[in-house]
Amino acid sequence: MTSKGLDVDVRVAAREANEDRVVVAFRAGPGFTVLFGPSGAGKTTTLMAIAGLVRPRAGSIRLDDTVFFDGDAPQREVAPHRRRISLVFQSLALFPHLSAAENVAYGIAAPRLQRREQALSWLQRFRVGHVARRRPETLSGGEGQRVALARALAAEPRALLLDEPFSALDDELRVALRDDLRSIVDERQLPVVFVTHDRAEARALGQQVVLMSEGRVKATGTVALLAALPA
Amino acid sequence: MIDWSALLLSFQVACAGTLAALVVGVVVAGVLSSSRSWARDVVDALVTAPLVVPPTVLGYYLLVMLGRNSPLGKAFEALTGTTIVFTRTGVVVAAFVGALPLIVKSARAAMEQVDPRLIGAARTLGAGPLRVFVTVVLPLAHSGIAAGAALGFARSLGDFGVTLMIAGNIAGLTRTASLSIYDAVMGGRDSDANGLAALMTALAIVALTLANRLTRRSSHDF
Repeated sequence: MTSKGLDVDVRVAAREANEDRVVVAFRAGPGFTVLFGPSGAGKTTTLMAIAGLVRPRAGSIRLDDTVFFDGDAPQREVAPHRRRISLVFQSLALFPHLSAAENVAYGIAAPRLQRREQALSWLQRFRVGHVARRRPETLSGGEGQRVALARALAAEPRALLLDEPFSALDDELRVALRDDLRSIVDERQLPVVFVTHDRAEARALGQQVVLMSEGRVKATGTVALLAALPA
Repeated sequence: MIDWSALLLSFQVACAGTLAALVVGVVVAGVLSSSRSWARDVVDALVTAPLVVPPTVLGYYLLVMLGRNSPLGKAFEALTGTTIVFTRTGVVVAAFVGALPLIVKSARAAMEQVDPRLIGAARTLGAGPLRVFVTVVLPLAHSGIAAGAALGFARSLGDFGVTLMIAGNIAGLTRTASLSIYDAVMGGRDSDANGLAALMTALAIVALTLANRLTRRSSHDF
């Protein structure tokens, strides 16, 4: 039996100590799932494991009917570049030696000319067509975040992972970008795992919420969970 | 009189040796910087050993490994009709061995400075390890790699011991600038030695200045 969405059930070992740093299990269907918790809760580690950049010690990661990692057969792990899961880092991780358009084109699998056209149209879709030729270091925080989201979506991912992508924005820009992103996610029925420690953000985007603390899942449910938390 | 042919030979040989060491060194540095295997430290020690092993010892090993009776030496002679030892090929080998550790050290340090999140981002965008290396790691580490090449060039330009052991001191064939200075001093031709020594010093300082500038640039990139 198969189901649509991302199934995560992993244990990630701490680098040095002989214990599990992160133990997390949740399901993320199409739409936004918010990983909510204080810094150090293991949210970023969870995203890295889903993307394949950190190898879990045990457990499994599946997307729809594809098994990316199975702790019982770790040698069959799917390499990160074959997962088609885009990850937007908190630092954005835009390639500093490439222009905005080249950054977006990086993940597009098409002949050169088409790649450029598609990259430009993604930049326009995120309202930053005018920065196409500029290097990341010359972009404002908001422009950089739009370019990073355009790059992540241009690669035609099967799921999207976002690590506090709006943290550096003021409220107005944040709402605008959130709306742009939501329309694309809804249109593609894309599972999105969204990490934040900002309650208003979680409430605005989250259809489903996973509460994390000290490397463990404390609760899963709807945004109503957040209201019950002490301020 | 300054032995211009020896200086020219040193220059040519340092260019060829550094170029070869650059190609091999970048590949070795790439493997070392991305590998987590225990063998990594062993390979690193082997590659950098020429920095600390006495040149005569190193030259002796090369002589044994590449001499006319060695399998490698025989294979080379069968292919090209000439030997490695006591020819210009031997001088280039000496230059290569001198430049390689400096290039590997510098390139590896520059590659390890590349933000792992950039590498992670490239992987999640569908790039395999080789594409990541060519399109992200190499362009971001290029200043450090070039600095290593400049250092390696300076080092191989002045090699004495290894060259003497595997290529000898044959006038017009394997006599590099360093060997020519030695000859001039032994022969009491101090003015010849002075001129060549001054030129070699100038070349080394130019290469070191270049290396410093490139190293500064690579640390500014981040």
